[in-house]
Amino acid sequence: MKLEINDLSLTFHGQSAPVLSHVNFADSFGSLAIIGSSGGGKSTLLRLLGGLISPTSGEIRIDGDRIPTDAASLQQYRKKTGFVFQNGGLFRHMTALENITIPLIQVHGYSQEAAQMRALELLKQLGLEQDGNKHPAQLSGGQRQRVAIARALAARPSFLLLDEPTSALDPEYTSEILTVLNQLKQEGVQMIIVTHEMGFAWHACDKVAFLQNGTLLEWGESASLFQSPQTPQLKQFLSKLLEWNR
Amino acid sequence: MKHILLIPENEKPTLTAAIINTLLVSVLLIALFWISLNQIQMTLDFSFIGTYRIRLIKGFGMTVALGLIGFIISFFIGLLSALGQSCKILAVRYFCNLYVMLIRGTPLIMQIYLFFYILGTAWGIENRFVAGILILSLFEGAYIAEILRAGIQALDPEQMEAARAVGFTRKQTVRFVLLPQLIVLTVPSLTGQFASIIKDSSLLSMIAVIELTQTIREITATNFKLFEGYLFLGFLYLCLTLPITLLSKRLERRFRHEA
Repeated sequence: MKLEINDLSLTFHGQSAPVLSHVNFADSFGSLAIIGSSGGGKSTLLRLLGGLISPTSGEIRIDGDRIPTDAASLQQYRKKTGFVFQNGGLFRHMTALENITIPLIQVHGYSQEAAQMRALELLKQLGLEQDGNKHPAQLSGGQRQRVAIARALAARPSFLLLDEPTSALDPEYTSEILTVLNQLKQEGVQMIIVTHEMGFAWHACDKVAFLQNGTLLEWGESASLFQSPQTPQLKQFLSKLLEWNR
Repeated sequence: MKHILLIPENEKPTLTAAIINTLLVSVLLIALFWISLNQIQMTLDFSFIGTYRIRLIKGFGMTVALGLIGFIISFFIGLLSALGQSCKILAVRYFCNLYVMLIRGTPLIMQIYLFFYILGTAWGIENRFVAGILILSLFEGAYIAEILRAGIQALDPEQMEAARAVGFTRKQTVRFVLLPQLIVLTVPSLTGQFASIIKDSSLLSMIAVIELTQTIREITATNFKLFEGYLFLGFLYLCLTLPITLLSKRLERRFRHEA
């Protein structure tokens, strides 16, 4: 996919400091990781990419098409994306199966049978065929995120947006989810992922973007970005991370 | 013996322990009551129930009707004021806040007299049943407003964001996410409030609405069987409120894993 971000800024209502200021980006990739310190604007950028919020100024184009800003077109735009949240994205009052089928039926016009078939197919693919009738609270953190990924994939979106999908998980569940994402990537699913998992960003993502204090400081091929960071901020950020990973 | 009388920490009592202890408590209560009756040399005579059964059934029906209709009206009053409390129009917000504060801060009996004799007379609401239901609903509406407001505040904003992310429209978000979650959060308390409405309706006897309590008051005023009358009254209210309370507890347990 081709992503262009032109002079994108966002200041939340009633705040003086911008969350994102003058972000520019233009590149093509199958998978992009957004890295950086907490509070740097990564999740906000992802929400802008997902059409969940609108920028104060600037624009985003995906494969040439500008993300709309009016409510009705935004709702149409969101139908074409698959969003996975950090933790609380599944509807608590629905079973795993309903979490997938109800949006398919209500938003994408599937029949009950077609939605059911598609949901079961995905749950099976993600190793959850036994868990369709459980509520999110009855699932482990890793299972919950797999259901969330299944729901995001269900309507065959143009791409997935993942907001720190493993940051609330134990190490073993983390690697379980990263494996699933890597498989999806191999199958050709395009994604943009906000992550603290540098190994995943490096080895599983084509491109990496580094965001700090609301500014996009650097982006490029993941290997070259990690091996020869250009900005002092990224050098510092990476060296801090490596301190305990030697 | 010890494992029958005491509950081990973080465990449920066994069935035997539950039965034995329930019996024990019942025997103690009955004994206390029995001894008290003997002290004042009373024998209970419930034969009046048969004599007045038609009036009792009517009174019981009236209490059920007051409870049901009162619950429905007070739910809508409560819903409106809960929404009004977060309204953008400041006057509406203040009005709803004031309503909830004043009603919750004063006793029902004062409101009954005030509304019935002053407002009711001034505005020509003379039907005691209608006036009674309106007063009761105004009172309970303030409590329901608080239940609903707490429920709305407990809704997780992330769930609403997820609803937008899957592509739901506003209407679909309300129908498929907001309302079901609000129901889970509020239905147990609302059921409990229904039991309160049934009990509170007894105070409408003060303006001579012939519901259950007023019926018993009238009967005992003629036959002087105060003890029997009020014992039986308590029994009838429990027949209504106990099942509702149990239902409320069950719903609470059932919804716990969903909320």
